[in-house]
Amino acid sequence: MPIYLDHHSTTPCDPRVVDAMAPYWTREFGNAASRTHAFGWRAEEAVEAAREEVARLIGADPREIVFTSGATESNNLALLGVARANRERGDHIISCQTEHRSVLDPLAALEQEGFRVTRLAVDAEGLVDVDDLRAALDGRTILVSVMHVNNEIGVVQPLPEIARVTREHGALFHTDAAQSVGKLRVDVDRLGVDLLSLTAHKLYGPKGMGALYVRRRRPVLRVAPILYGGGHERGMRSGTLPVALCVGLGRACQIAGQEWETDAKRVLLLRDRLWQRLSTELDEVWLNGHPENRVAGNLNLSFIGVEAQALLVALPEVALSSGSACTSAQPQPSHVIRALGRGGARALGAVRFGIGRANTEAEIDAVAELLVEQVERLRAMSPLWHEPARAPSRS
Amino acid sequence: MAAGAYSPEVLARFREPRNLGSLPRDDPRVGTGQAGEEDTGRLVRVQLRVDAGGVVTEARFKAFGCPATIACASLVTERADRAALHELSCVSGSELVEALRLAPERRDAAEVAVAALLAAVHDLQSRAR
Repeated sequence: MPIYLDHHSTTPCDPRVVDAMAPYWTREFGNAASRTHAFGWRAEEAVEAAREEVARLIGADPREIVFTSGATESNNLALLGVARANRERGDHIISCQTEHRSVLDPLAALEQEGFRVTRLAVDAEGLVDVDDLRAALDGRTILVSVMHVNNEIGVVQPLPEIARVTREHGALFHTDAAQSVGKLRVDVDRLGVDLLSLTAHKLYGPKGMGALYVRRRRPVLRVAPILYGGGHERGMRSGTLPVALCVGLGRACQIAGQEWETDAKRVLLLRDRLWQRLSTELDEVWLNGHPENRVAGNLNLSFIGVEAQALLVALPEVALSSGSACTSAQPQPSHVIRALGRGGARALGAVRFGIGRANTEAEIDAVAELLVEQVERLRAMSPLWHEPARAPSRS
Repeated sequence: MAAGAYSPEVLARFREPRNLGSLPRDDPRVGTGQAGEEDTGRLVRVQLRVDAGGVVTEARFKAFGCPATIACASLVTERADRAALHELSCVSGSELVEALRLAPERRDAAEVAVAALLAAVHDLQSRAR
């Protein structure tokens, strides 16, 4: 199997999580909503224990956790639910150009319903300017949604500042924290968020499971459901809970709470080792996104003169991803790299490295060696590459 | 992008391209053609050297782009090698699409490679006049 460096896409399920879930596929199969027998009571007990673990990891009250099928659903519920429930208060939502599609697409759907959406630009390093937010807020703004950590370039947005400005204005603040929970400190009060989306499979839990944090007090939040049928999860998310997946998310959160700091330190060393080797051994490697305000496991690099799809196909020994897609008539550069104001070629050359818990130094060294070899091979093919004088890599 | 998204024919030429390289531009028997744009993700340069009778004796390419772009650039130089210049005007994108079993949405890669080839032919023909 290839060396896996695509942990922003998904993470392997931790064996301890698999063990925790195991009884709930067979012996403990009860429906957590069944109140009339022990099968239901035991399932409910397991679900509520998991809810406590999720809440503990993000500094919330368990009653503020709504289980969903993942961050896409959480983002949809937060945006569609808050907008539709607060329509009489306003019709304006502010977000950011570099958000994940699971935020951008529901916002486009809300525009079809008559809402106004402002998508804030980011600076050349991928960060939102709080002054831009201040200028965009108007008397009809009901919601601001800015992601915590970007899924492509890993930059960490200044959420406490964004939250302060948003709250002063009386709007609600949502963040997509799919890429940050379990990777860095996430505390809903310190961040100042009213709603927060997370997903299990980015923190070594199962796919198909996530949660939305919904603040209970100050302000009182109204979220209209997007699924109807039974009124589960305090009426916000109908549907029988997947008990095993809830347990898996809970266990993944428990492990993350105990181990994230150790993991982050180790992953940061590996990330810096990879960057050090590539930037020393290759010319014209550009780091996309802020060099310091980024999550530990992320590197997003453009190799000038090389197209990312070609590099990925040339490296079957490594599992990587690029933001661009070469499935249409013209290769489509990543909307995130374009938002940094980078030209098409740099956007088309962007490769994302996502280092995770299980990666080793030996793997990083092997990847660096393979990359250097293939970048040099593809550059030798490229009419754009003219063997420049040796220059330090830029960021 | 999985390698599985490309046909074995594309992958073979991407991994071991034929006729990769450059010819000296100042050689009067060398024609150079370029097509595509860096910003759109495809740029192909084709160079042809001809003998006194207008037959291609050497064909070389360089390409920036996805594996399909590189494979198409390699294939047009194979097609050009040992051909008379006047025969090359009939090389088409469809021919490359078929030979490399390119997905229809990657047809542009073939068109860019053919445009670079025809530009090299045109360069030689304009010198001969």
